Amino acid sequence: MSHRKLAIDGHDAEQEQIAQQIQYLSTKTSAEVAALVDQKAAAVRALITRGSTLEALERALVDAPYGRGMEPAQAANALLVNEILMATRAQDVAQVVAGLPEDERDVLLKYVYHGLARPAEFNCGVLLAWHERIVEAAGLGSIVRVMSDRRTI
Amino acid sequence: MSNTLRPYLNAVRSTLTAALCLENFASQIVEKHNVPEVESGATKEVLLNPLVVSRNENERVLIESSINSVRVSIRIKQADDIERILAHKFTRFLMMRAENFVILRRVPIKGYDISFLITNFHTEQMYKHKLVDFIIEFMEEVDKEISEMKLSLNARARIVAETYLSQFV
Amino acid sequence: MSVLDEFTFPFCVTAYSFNGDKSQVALCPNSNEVHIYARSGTQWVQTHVLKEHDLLVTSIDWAPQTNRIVSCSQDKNAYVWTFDQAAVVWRPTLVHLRINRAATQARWSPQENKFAVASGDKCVAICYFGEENNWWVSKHLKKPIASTVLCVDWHPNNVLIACGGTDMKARVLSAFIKGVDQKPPSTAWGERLPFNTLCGEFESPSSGWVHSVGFSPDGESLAFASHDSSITVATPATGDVTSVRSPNLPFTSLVWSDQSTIVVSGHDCSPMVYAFDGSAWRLVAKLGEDDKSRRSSTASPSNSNSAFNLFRQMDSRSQPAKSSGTADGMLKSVHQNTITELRSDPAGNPVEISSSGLDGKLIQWRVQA
Repeated sequence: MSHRKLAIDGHDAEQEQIAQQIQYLSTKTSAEVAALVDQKAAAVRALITRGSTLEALERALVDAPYGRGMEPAQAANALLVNEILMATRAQDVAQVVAGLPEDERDVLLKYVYHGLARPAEFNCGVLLAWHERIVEAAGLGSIVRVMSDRRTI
Repeated sequence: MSNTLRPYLNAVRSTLTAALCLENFASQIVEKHNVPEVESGATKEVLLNPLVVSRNENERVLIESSINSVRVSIRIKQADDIERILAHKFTRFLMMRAENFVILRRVPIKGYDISFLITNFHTEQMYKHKLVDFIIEFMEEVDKEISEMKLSLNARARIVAETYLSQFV
Repeated sequence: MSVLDEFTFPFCVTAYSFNGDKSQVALCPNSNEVHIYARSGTQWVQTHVLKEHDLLVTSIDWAPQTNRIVSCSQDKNAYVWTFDQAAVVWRPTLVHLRINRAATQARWSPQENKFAVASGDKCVAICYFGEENNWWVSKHLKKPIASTVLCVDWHPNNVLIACGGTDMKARVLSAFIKGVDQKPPSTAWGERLPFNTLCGEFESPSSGWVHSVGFSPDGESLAFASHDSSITVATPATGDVTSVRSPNLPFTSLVWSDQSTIVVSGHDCSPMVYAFDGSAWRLVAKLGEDDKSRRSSTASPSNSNSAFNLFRQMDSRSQPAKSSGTADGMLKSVHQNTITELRSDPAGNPVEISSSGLDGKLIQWRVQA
């Protein structure tokens, strides 16, 4: 390869370091993560049918699949979280949000935004109601964290 | 329909307020330059995750933020062809006069009807909460404006049709 | 928690620094100039205008003991200004910075024989007076820094320096200059400290840009505020790294009031006081918002109806008036726009801090423990 065709700017050690930092890479393979999400799904669905939304939500939000190359697992987990959100009655939303620990509220908000970006697949009316409750409970800081966190879902 | 408008606008308002945390940031690529990082996109680490807030498939807002600038793109409700034409004409009218609106971008982002670019220089000159109010008000007004235009257009068409057809009665 | 002094300038105050006894202030009116104001009664009167920079002045620091001002700018330069008593003018000396991008923040070291200039050139320039050349020369801290440095802070021992920036990490580095510094006693941060030794590297839970760093008064802990609306406090002696997620907008500046009190401010218009209660850092007060005496004395007659207006607005628009404030568009806080900089008292009084904002206000606060 001719050295003239090398893009020098693309070979910057600092840039590579930054790129690694920006793109969160999981240590697990995508197949492993997908299997984990599948395992979780059964337990979470059982919890939904029993009506314990808070537990189901906590279960679904714990080690959510992050990073690049995890798209199938991420989509599956997003659907799972969405199922819980849809199954919650409107009057219970505030209570469920209040029961979540701080860091999981931030993760939940990520899923809400994930849904809001795909109006064809998710019901935005319900998600907007959840958004309002989460922001009431966790403040604007949680939105800032969704924007700044590189562990995207 | 209007029961989702309020939560939609509230979500946009809170997201926008969170995004509008800007500061003066000189380019680290080109010396002595100061560019909106969200537009140049050359320094990846000063960009934040873009967020979308949708009310339904036809109405959504994209908020892309960076350390010194925020780009807000709005997709206006367009239920039928007439609304589509009206929205196009209306946004084109505004964007051709972009310099009078200070934060308006001349060209919208692909997939959206109108875009705003807010930089740290705007937040220095203007109160931040007023900027947010302006964009929310714009979103409320533009829907109203377009439905009004559609109504008056229909009324006008009816009068034209009646006048034209009355000669055959 | 009260306002000691408040003054509104007709421009954004983007950087400022008081002199040692707070009788004068150097500030930047969001331009390429540095203005010096002197106190006269309750007013500030302009005495000097320092024009040497070409682009926006990003930071000013006034050394309280040696009475020198360092200013740095986006034009890649920094100047040290000394006061000429005879001619009553401030004379600039150019600093040999050798950086190729904007300078972002300048700070004198505690002993005032060195200063640090953070820059967009992915380095921190440590500047000291070179006797043989008779001007300010610099050495660069470069090694692990991968992006623009936004903030620096000196350890009380005059050797260690903390920096943080858009690479989302806060670091503690050694800025030991042979011939200028005495060998420091070993601290929890490290024992042997040649120049550019990395003594600590920390990240906030949701990885935001680090806007402000600060060593605790005893130098044992490092606190930093980052763009994910959090404050992180790291103590190397015990290995503790604790973070507080705030429900508010990100903080851009942070100062320690005393060993267990941190004051932060930023895009929310009130400075906030966090205190350590033995197990965790908690928000204890928002400065100015609970200050009823001040509010009622400054409120105009039309303001007194603001609650009525608020509810009427909620009624007529059938929506809660959002935090944007009251009917006349004023915020409840004392500052009406982003707070640009928070500074501790130059004389070292732990309960007095000052803040400046984009609304032109320069406020001195009392933080009660």
